[in-house]
Amino acid sequence: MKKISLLFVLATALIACNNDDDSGTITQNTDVTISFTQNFDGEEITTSSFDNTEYTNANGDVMTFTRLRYLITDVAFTSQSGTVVSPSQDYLLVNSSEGTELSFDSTTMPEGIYSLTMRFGFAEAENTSNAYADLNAESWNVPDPMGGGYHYQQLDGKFINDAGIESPFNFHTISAPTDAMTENVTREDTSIPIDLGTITIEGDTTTIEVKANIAEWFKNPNTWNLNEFNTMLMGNNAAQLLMEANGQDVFTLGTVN
Amino acid sequence: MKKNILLGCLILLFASCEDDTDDNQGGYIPVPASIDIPVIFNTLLPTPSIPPDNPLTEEGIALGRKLFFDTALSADNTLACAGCHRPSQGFSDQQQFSIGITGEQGARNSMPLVNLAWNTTNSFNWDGSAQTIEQQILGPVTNPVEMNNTWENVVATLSVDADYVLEFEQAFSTTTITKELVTKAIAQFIRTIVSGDSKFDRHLRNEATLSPLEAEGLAVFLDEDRGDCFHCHGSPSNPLWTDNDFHNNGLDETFTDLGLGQFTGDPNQFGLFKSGSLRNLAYTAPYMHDGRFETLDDVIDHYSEGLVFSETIDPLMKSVAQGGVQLSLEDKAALKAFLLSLSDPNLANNPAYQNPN
Repeated sequence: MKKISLLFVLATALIACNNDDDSGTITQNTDVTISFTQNFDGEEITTSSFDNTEYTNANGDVMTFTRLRYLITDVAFTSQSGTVVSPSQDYLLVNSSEGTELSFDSTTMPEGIYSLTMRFGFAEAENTSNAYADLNAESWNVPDPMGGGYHYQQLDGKFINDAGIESPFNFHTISAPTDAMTENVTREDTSIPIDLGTITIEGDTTTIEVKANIAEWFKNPNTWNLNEFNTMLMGNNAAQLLMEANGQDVFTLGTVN
Repeated sequence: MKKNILLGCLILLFASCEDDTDDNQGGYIPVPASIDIPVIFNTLLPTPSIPPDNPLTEEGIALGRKLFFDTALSADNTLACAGCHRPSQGFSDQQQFSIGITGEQGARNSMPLVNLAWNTTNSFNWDGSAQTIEQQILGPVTNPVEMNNTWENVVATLSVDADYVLEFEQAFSTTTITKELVTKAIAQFIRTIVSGDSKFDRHLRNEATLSPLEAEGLAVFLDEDRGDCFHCHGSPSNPLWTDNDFHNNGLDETFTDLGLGQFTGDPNQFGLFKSGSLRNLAYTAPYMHDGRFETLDDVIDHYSEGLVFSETIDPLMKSVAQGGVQLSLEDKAALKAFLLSLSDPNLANNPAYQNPN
């Protein structure tokens, strides 16, 4: 046991001594954290907003949110020389309503200028049924008869419908299926690439805020009428394509410090 | 920076040189144990959640099992944990409300105790009032309508039993029995209670074939336009058959039992209760947190045409305005057949879960 510990210590020491780059200059490493915040056209959404705060979407529908979870994948920092650094976590299931899983584990990377990209939902190649044990336990799956894989987002809430009655909506985004609930079901990748532009990483720590404007899901380019599309949207190919279009501008870069 | 790392290495070096002196200072060292994980669980689910301060050991599990079946935990020596959590009844019982030692009824239906090692949400009980299994065990012992005992009395009773003193020493390396150690031992046993050998599990293992009715029932279960059960109750991808989350599933317009809201004080959580696992429904009637539904047909009828609106109803109860999802008689029969395929007939007779006393 003692020998193994000594070996580990020596190996660690050797690695520590090899931290400088080949040019002999010292490379400063930075601990980088990516955090997600949610807002509705600038009005911050916090855990206390759920089931309490009323929002009015572009169509004029008054609504409240009960649950918001969404999946972020494929985070990549690309340096000007083309080197790509990614967090050790392959994905993050942000739980806005519970206020949990709001940040990726920090990533240590050299100072520099990077472009930052990520993805809303799993890309087709990674959207494999049953592949992610933690997401299975969260019941984040999409049933195979609806195309399989995993949800991209679950936004559940209530709105006042045209008859003045409080009604539920389930704004669930998935890989858009065709012929759902049949043996011929196919799906179309409607995950959304997110390009957050160029970021300067410097100092001991850098925290990057990614803002999700939930109002965007309901307005651009398609004004979303909750009276028309409210529940049972997973198997609705047309609704999924509209969601994909509206999701293009949901995520933007917030503060970096 | 490099100096700091080297300093850290030296500290590690000294620490490693001192490591061996603490080993085996005498006394019995319990044998590490593990959960017998079904192959489907191994494939689909994270590893079980075992708290670092209560690792599974053979001695701890055996002691916990003995305590689970021991009526000595109750004030008048008549009721054990197993009195309301019977292996033959899916580790639940068949009462609407369990009966305590005084003959009084509780207010909730006995929850089945299976596959709890995979509950990673840190919330147990219908209302989420316990954050660990260990904490959950504290309540029934002192509840006046359950065991109606005191922990001081339990500890005193066990401490004069030479067999228990020896077994606690073997499990926890101490002869001083405490309520914390009692709950740790029982929690260890409960974490080993695994149900993963239903017909549907065998189907997933290619060892059984669903009947056409059961297969159609699965389709109803997974269809957003029909049952839409999967959002709260898992799927073939989540063999726990629960999301371990809390929902108001449209049972009442007003609440006599506030559920999660009673515990948190949040009015938005009034009437929310934990989604029960759909495993072993053949053995766990009656259903719901208050055992209001005697049969599985009653449950299906509720979701089909019995939903009622209240302020906190979950938006996933999307058809509340129509009273429910309006299943056809054929869909209801198929759904029932599928749900029953999730029952595990081997659970009741598993020798590891029987009364050792």
